[in-house]
Amino acid sequence: MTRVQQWVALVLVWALSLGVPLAGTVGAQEEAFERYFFTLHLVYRSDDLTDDAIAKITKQELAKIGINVELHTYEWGALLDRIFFAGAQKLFEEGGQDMHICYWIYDVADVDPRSVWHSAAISPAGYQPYVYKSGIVDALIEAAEETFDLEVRGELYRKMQEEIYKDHPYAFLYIPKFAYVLNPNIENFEPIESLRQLSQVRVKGKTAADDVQLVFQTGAEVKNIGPILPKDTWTMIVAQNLYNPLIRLHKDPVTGELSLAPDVAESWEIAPDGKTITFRLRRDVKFHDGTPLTARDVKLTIDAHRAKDTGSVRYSIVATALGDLDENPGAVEIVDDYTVVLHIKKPYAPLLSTLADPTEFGIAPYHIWGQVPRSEWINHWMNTGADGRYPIGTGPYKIVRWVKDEFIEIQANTDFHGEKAFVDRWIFRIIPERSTAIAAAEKGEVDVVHYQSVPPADVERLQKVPQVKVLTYLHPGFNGIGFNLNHPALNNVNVRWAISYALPRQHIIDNILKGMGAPGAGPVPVQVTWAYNKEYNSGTIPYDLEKARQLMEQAGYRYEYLRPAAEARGFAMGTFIGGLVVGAVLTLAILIFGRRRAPAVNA
Amino acid sequence: MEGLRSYLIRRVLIMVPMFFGIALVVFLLMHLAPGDPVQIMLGGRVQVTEEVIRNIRTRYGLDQPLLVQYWRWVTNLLQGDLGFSYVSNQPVAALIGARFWKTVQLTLTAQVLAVAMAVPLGVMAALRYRSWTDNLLSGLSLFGYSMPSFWLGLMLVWLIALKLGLLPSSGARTVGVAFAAPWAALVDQLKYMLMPVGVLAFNQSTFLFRLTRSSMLDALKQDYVRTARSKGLAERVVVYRHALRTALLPLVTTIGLNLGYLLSGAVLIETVFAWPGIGRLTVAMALQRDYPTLMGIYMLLAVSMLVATLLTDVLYSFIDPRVKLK
Repeated sequence: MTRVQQWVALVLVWALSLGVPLAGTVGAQEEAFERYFFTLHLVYRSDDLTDDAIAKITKQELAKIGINVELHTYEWGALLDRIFFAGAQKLFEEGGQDMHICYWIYDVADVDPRSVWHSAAISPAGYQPYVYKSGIVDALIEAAEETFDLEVRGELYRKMQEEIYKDHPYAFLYIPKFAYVLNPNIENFEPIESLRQLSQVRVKGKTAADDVQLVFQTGAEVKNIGPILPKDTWTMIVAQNLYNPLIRLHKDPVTGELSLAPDVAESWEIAPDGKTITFRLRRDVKFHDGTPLTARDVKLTIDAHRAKDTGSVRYSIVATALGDLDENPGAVEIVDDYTVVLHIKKPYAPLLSTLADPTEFGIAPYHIWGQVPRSEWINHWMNTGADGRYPIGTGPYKIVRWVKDEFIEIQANTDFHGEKAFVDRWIFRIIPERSTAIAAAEKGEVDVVHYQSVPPADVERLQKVPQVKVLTYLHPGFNGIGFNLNHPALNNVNVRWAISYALPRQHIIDNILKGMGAPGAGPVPVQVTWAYNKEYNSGTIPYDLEKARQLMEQAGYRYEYLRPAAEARGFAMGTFIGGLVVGAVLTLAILIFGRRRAPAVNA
Repeated sequence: MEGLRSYLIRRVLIMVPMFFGIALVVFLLMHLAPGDPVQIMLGGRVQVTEEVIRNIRTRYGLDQPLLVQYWRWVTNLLQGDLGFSYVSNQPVAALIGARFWKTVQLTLTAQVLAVAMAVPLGVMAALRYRSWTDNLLSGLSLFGYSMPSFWLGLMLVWLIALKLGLLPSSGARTVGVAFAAPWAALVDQLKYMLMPVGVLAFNQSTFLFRLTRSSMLDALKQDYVRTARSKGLAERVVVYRHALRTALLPLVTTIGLNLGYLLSGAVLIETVFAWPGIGRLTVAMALQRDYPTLMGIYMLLAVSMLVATLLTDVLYSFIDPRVKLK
């Protein structure tokens, strides 16, 4: 071995024996922990890329506070099964879930916290998968239901939000933002469905005298187009143009405040004792076939919702307030043709906003359905459009053509009692594939693409396309991560808050959602101005790992256990000394054997 | 012909237990799938009490034991009653019937076009084996075969409908326009058919082309072709009467099975082009857990497969002199 070779060998030996322990120590600091306190199983929907990205970031962030997260995706039906039905209240290993990503879409007509936060609604009985039992929240919800006074209710609901926020059975992440893709000439288009009146849509460059026709894209065939019966989104957007409710939700164009306004009823009056509500009907409302709307039509509609054989999903609300039809047949009283009195069994606030739903509470024609048994309505032509006969309502539009699986065409009702429609015809055309729907809009074949067909990821690109206008808006509802409080670790409020502090909400909104979400999510939609709590919502929770770790410590979890500091230091020292020893031994070996061999070669 | 008749009777008799077997599998598969149809029916709606759910279950017989539900379904099936769709509140037969012709219009046209393109081109490629024509056609077919049809569809929508503006992007007709002349409505429909039919036909033809080419190459190497040539027969006769007839055999099987399959709808193409056929119905109903409709569609698929295989076998006896049906 020459001198140069010896030098090279020595440098190599020392580089390795000191470099390896050094790299190991640095590497160990980058890696969060060697152990975890516990493992949580997070379940979410398999076909949702946003949820997937959120799940991955949750796993990454919770690892930093010592919680291991295993991710599991399920097809929608199977996921609902795990969260609400077969797996309700169970942990993941038992067929349920420890945490789930699930969003809630609300109506802005009212606040309905009972079905999601009241302890009586714990799944499978209702839609409360958190197994959250708070006597205070239950009492607040019940108190708010017992009065029609919005100010009192608003106060109670704000208190309820504060309680839910503090107990944190659900880590609110963001308010979803959705987008409609519109023909750029469309004006006055309301994105929130329960506030929308297509009859008020205007088109730039056209007057009321012009013949205007617009095409509205939908995702699937309608079902239950008739009044009263349960409807999905695609049916509601058509049905809301055909019928009129007694009263209607109104949004102040300036302040955005929501209130109830007259529709078929020109006025209503709640008795001071809250025992009766008197509705006075307009006298100029006519059904599409010319029959005038009177009190008997209203009675038929309200009674149907509190009868068991109708299949109405509003049964519980209406029957709570007015009693079941069989038990309390006289609750809806016809005073004369244009006066209806509701006799309240128990003051129940959600009743009024329920009455304001233009689809399921659109007034049904007595002269058509009065003689048909309620259980037959679902198969009646009023509901299915069979034999080319289309539903009869009082709305600003009526159906004139319906080709199943292709389109429904509605035409302005010239006898309408309110403001006449500006757009003469709307055609609801079914295009299930989102990309095709958007291409159709870019080409001008479609004037409105429904928000469910506009992927949030496409919004940025579409905003640069001159052929369309993108209308983004905050949708009533909230997204986040729900906890199963039956889990021994999640049962501790500090752990739930620790998880919540570890979630980077702003990062999610900016980078995963690309702005298609907003802070401020809580159990009451931000749009419901009279009940929303500005202080206690997701917008007031910062991303704070330090605080999260403190809370974990308070919950009894010691970080020394995960990577004891002394042990870690000892390990680093140990490897370093080991490196020194190995280096020294090898140096000696090189010096001794290297020198001995040299003369032998020369000889 | 005597042999054929007894063969037919036997085949139809075998189809009966097969039918029941398929019915049982379809039924069980549908009912073992996760997700509760009542919950899907309610669309995740809140404010629903246990009582309402119970009412719905009773109304649709979903509270009955599985065996009772199966028995009720099969007996109705035999009477030609496919059941009642609780999602769309219509008889399943009406639901399927309305879309069946739309699907036939799409898939049959595509299949005919595919055969018309694939067979002559396949023969040509085989006759000019390893020439640049052959290489070009083979390359093209490989490209088409490995390309997902929905992606090709979306690209066509983008290019032909959006960028070039030559054809409408999707649907089955122009909505909101009343055509005075019947031919105008027909022309309008043809415009909408062009892209979905084209994609489907291209997709189908690539496989048929490869099949024709390889079985033709195989046939051309056979002894009887050499014999025919040595007899001094014209090349045209050798190719079309002797070689092609044998080469057609695997093709007939494939086309037959394909047709049975296609009659139950081209799911992806129908979805991309918003074509109101059976395939889209299948997707919509699968998402909504509409058991009766899905079972109806699967039974339609099963029956069309059974009939298609029977027809294929019978056709064999006419094309291939070696096959005798007994």
